Amino acid sequence: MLANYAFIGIFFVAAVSFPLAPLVLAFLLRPKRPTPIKQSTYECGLEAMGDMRMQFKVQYYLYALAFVIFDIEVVLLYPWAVAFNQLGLYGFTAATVFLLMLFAGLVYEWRKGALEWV
Amino acid sequence: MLKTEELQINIGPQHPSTHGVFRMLVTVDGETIIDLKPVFGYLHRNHEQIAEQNTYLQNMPYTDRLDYFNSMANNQAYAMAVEKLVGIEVPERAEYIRVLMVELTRILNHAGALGFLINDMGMWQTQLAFGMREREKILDLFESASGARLMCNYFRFGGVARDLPPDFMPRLKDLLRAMPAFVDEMERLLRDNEILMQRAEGIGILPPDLALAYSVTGPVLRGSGIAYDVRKAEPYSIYDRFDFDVPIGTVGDVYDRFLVRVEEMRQSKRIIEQVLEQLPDAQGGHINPKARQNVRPPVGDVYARIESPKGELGFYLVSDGSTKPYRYKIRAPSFINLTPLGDMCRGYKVADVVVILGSIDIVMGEVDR
Amino acid sequence: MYDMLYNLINVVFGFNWPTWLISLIGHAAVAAILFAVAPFQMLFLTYYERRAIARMQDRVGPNRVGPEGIFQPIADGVKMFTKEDIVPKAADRWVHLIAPCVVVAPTMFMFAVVPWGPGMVPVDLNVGLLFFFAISSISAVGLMMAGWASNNKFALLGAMRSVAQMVSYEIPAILSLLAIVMITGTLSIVSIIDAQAGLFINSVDLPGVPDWGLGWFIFTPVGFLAFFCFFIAALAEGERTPFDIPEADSEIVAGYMTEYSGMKFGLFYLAQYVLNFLLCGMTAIIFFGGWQGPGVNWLYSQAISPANPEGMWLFNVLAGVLGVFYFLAKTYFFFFVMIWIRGAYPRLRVDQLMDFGWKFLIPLTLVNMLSAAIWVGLTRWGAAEGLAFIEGWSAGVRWGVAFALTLIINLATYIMMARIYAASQAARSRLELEELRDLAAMSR
Repeated sequence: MLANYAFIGIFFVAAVSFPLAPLVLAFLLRPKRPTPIKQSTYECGLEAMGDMRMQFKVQYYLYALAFVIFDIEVVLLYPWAVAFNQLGLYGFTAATVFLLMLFAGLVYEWRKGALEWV
Repeated sequence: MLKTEELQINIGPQHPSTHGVFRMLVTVDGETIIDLKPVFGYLHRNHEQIAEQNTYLQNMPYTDRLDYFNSMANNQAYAMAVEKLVGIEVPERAEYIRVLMVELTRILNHAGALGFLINDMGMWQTQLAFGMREREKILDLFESASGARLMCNYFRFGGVARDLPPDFMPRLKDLLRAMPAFVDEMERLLRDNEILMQRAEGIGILPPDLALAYSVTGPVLRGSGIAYDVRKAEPYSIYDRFDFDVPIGTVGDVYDRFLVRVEEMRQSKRIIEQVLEQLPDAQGGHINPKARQNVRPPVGDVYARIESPKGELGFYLVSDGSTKPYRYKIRAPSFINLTPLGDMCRGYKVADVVVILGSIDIVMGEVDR
Repeated sequence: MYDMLYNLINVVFGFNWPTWLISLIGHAAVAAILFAVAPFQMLFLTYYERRAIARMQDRVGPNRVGPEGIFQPIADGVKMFTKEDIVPKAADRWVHLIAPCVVVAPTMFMFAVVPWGPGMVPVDLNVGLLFFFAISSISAVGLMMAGWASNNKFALLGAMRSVAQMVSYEIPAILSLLAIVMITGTLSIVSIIDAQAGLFINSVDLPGVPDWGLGWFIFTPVGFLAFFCFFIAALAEGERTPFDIPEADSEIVAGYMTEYSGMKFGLFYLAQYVLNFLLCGMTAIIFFGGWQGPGVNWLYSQAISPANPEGMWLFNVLAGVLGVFYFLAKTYFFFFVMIWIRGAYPRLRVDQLMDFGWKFLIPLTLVNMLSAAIWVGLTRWGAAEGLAFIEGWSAGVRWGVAFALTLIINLATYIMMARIYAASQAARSRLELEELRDLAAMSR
């Protein structure tokens, strides 16, 4: 079974090199005539105002935090789900308690307003 | 909470959904609009000054270019202003034809405007395509009557340029028969579409007092719950003969404006049906034979206004006794309806801006004259 | 598939090469074929989408290049190659260049575990499902790189939206799949397909069901709810309407792709269509049996396979053709559903999107996992696992009870969540209304 991962490696190499071929071909085919106007940043036909890279309000950082928690939950659930057939009632109860705790967390976030877009 | 900076974005002039070259200077905090400044003038072409160099009749095709969706309505407002200034009588039949054309214009304008509004919401032109299909049918009728589809130039002082062709009436009746299905479909699309409702309800609220303060007119004002319609408030032409309702909204959001437009299409259809009943008995021809087209009005000024599909369209003319207007001023509904955009958008999301703009229904040709 | 190759080289030609060499050659060949086919798949999908949506909009669609416009996507491809690549002065040149590669490479890499037909899987990984979704989330990095490197306001807004969206909808997607994993007890995609033999009833749950290849999970209440949640999450992951917020053309021009032109833009486009194809394929595989369908299993049982080395190669071909046909038919059907939705729905606003994911889909998928647990317990367990009371029930009764119970749970949850969600939405819009009135009053 481990050999499979070697074959996955073949696909990895192929996938990484896949976008290079059209880029190189396009590089050879396309015209190259840059002008200052052409290379200006698009802002609906006007001069760009200020720099984009600044301290910007990212409303969903709370979503990102919640995502991290849930993603860890999912990672822990994967092996449980695979083995669920053999686990029996004990495994089921344990996981249910775990899920309920996370569900309570979700409800808490919801009630606290962390899931509101402010 | 960390201190964050506000970001200024230009939406427009070259933007997919600003309905022409229109610029909104938006200040956002994250995705929320803090301030919005409409900036226009990119399509300014000195319309009023050029019109003062033309004779009165030369301006008739020129008014077509104002709001190119509704050339018939522009024609009517201008013709009414000159007729009032000179004192030309319009025969009854000509008035009926005028009303017929302007109400058809209203239907085609609303069909297109609602299509564009839903397109701005991201529904990839489906409704727009169906709206345009309906619009094409009406444009075919315009073509048969006036010879042109968009820039009709159909009205003359004292009537209209040509009488209706013989096949006009049967085609119009066919059109009217198919119309309710289209309008119902459009309304059902909004009422039954959960996502559309979410995007339209409670968005872009224009309170009635604010609407009055900005002197907004047309469906935007009626969506805010004020039943003001020039056709009822100051019946011009022969609008006092028809039986129709003025639909109004309750909250003044995008949803209300949508519903008002849908209902106005139904009311226009009602008016057209009444025109069809009364037209055969109408007196006179399509134009007053005594009316001179090369007019030389007496010294004086006049203001004539109509309810164009977008709102109150007024022409103010000052005559110095020559063949050219001394002053020619347009009260453009799109322009005035656009001014409260900043107040309507404040506090909403970036995505709502284009929807609110779409719900105002502007044509840049009329905003920047 | 590789057994056939082994058979061909060592038995027919008698070369007696070692197994690893043949496998290596086989995998390299499969990779080459798949990666050569994928761009054409994407080209066809663009054509298919444009024609289908044109029919919905009372138009004809592309119809000039070649018969019925079939060569239109090729013409577009040629245009991509010959179009000047414009990099804004303010942009970060290298990140701007690498970003499309980072988006495309994972989507292509995902092909490694997708089975196309019986025995036709590039690599049968025992954690295939985990691999698929782990790799798919890499492209979010590329999108953020594209938005950041462009140094364009629309691009950065679009990139941040897309990352938030991908991150939020990954959880319901995976949670809905976990319900299926609980039933099958494996993460291997091939085994998940194998578990869907039967006739409207999974043959694992009810032995003796004739094998028509129709025991799809969609026919169970657990599978149906999982499909519902997964497909919605797939729409969001693939940035399709009504979740095409990151590239909402009417708001933020083209999102993270705003500053891209030429082949770099083409690569983003390619990645998007390939990803959509794969997500549709995954929907077909996990809930609709993938290549399973009437006849495939019978054909494959006559063919050369590890279980049956004496089979006939002709049946390999027949089973392969039929299996690939079923798989592609299902996949294209789901792609059509995506187009259909695009033609009929406007897009959600970004906050509504987040709400829908977190407040509706995630609770629903969590409850669905509970249903899956009940399903497994009632259909497979006995005294050994702690459920002594169902020992005496026959398989049919067990299946019936499990079906009814999970159906009731899922339906009740769906109705309850829909109510709660609608109420929360209404409460929020009222709140906004009052706030806005105050704001408007202040501004005057």
